[in-house]
Amino acid sequence: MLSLEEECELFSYHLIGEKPTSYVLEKYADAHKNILGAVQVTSFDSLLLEIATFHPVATAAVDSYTAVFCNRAIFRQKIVVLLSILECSSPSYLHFESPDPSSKAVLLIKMLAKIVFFGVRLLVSMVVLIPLQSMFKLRSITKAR
Amino acid sequence: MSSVVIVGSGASGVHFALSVLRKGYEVTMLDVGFRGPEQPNPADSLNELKTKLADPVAYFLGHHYESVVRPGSKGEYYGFPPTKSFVFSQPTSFELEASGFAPLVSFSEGGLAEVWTGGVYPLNDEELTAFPFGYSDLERYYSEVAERIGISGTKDDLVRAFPVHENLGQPLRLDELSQELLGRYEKHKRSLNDELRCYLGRSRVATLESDMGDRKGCTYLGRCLWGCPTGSLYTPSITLNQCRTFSNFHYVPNMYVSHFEFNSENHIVSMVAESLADNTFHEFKAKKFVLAAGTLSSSKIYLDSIWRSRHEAVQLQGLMDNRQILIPFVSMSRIGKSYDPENYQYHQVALGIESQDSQEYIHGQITTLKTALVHPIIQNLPVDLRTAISLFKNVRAGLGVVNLNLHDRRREGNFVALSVTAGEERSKLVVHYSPAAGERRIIRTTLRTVKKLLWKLGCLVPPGMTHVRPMGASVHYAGTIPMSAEPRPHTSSAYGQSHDFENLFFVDGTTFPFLPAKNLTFTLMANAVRVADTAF
Repeated sequence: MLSLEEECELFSYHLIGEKPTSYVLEKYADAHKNILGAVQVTSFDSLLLEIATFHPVATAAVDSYTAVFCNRAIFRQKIVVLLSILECSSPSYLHFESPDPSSKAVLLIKMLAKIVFFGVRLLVSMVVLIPLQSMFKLRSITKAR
Repeated sequence: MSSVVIVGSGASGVHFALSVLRKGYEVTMLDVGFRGPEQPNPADSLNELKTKLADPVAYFLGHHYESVVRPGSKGEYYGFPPTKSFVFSQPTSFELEASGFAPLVSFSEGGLAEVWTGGVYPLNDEELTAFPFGYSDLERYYSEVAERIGISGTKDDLVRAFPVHENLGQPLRLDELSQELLGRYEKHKRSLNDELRCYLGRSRVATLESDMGDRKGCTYLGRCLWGCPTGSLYTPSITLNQCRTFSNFHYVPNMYVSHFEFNSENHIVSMVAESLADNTFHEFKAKKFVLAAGTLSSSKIYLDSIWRSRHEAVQLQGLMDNRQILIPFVSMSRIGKSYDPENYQYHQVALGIESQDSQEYIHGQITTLKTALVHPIIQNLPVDLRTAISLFKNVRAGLGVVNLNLHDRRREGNFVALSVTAGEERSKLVVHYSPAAGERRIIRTTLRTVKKLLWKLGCLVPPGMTHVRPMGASVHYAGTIPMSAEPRPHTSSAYGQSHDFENLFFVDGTTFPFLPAKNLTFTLMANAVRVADTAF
């Protein structure tokens, strides 16, 4: 289990490829006190978070999965809040301002490649996570009965 | 000297007040009057604030991160600034219950227009058909309001929809994407006009291009939504400050008006308000009383007054609001280009779609993305967040959103009423709304038209991102006590004078018998000045 600071570093690197400043770290912790601490977390949400914090590759896979399937999972809540902090802070806001300097054709190819990679990550994550999610769902239904 | 009590300090209230103050009336304005913080660093651009403020996250997202748009808020592309949240604060005395409607009310100093986007569009004769006056009766009031608030605009193809009054200032500097859109429109004008009946032109905005008195011309800081620090973007608190310079003006904030007291001849003797400081009730006497609290609040005061006196449960039928549709788009030619953050943040291009029935004109404003909180947009892209950031920054300079308004008509079944629990002092306002039959078809047809228009302008509409906002979201409410030539119950005269209480006037949207698609604030202000001029 990572500390909030380690988690923020991992997610910041995942989102913008950079370590967060001490100000961003402080704000990320503060956001947990204010809003993220109160988010209801299911067992599957906790598992997703554990997987996402295991390795950067897993972070990317869980990011793809939660973009489509578990939009409100605690992992996605955390990275959206971190994104909002990064876009309001200096110098990280610059990451959202300037485009890739490549020519338009190269840029379009790069963008297309990124979408394809997203598709691949999504497929791989689906293979692993859909059975797990179904299992957790079944378990919670059985428990409720 | 005659006396008048005005309830509310929104766009119509302050312009009415200014007119009657000039006539020598003794004016008391009752208002809850919540206020926001002062704007920091007035010379800095939005991005400079991110560098220069000690705690930029608190400024942009709020101390409790209340402006973070969290996952699951699909379709909302705007992050609302915490510094403006005071506009939607409510006193605990005000309770509301709604079905089919997501109402927004304001108790702030200056009202809802403290967070408007400044669109000012005069109504034409077709849109005023249901009103007991035409454009020629309103024109000089539009001109007067334009002189008071400062309007930028120009004469272009949209003159066919927006009549030209006096005191129209020079247009603002155009951002690059808006410039491109208008350039491409010029190229394809003939087919867009003939086939789609679409017209494009400059928005008319209540923002100064050059200095006017204490107010500076726009300095393009990109801070419109967060609160223009130079006063270039007009808000009603500017006129309220002007009213305060009159010795015959008494502004009484912290007062929540609950009802008025009237005698057996339906003559109002006083307005009753609760002080929010100590919860005591106060009576304010005058010869005439003016409700300018906004359609929902004015209706509640009216209903409460009748209920308290006669125990009569009245339903005010005919509530209207503009259905709003948000259509995000991306201009293909601007992919990979950079954008200039030091720009006017709001819409600079307006759009009109004509219809067989001229009253069914569809009005739109095109806002190109410049400075904004971008996490609501990024998380709405149908990919993972890392890919979304990467795609977003490459298309940012080409992003925009068309914000369409549809007209609305008064219909039975859309009403406001009171819910009163036996033995309780307070009442709850009940709002019910159902869309008109055939609305879905109109939305589908309109979306097809706008997508074709955007395609001609070199723009794509990303699939699945169009958002039909819930009723109530436009905050253009009107129609509960409409102007009527016949003195029917719960109607008003052409001068906003109640047909039920002879010394009561309405100067907000309450009296509008029809709601055109165009943003109504400019007409609210002009109509308030007209009432002050003709009935006072």
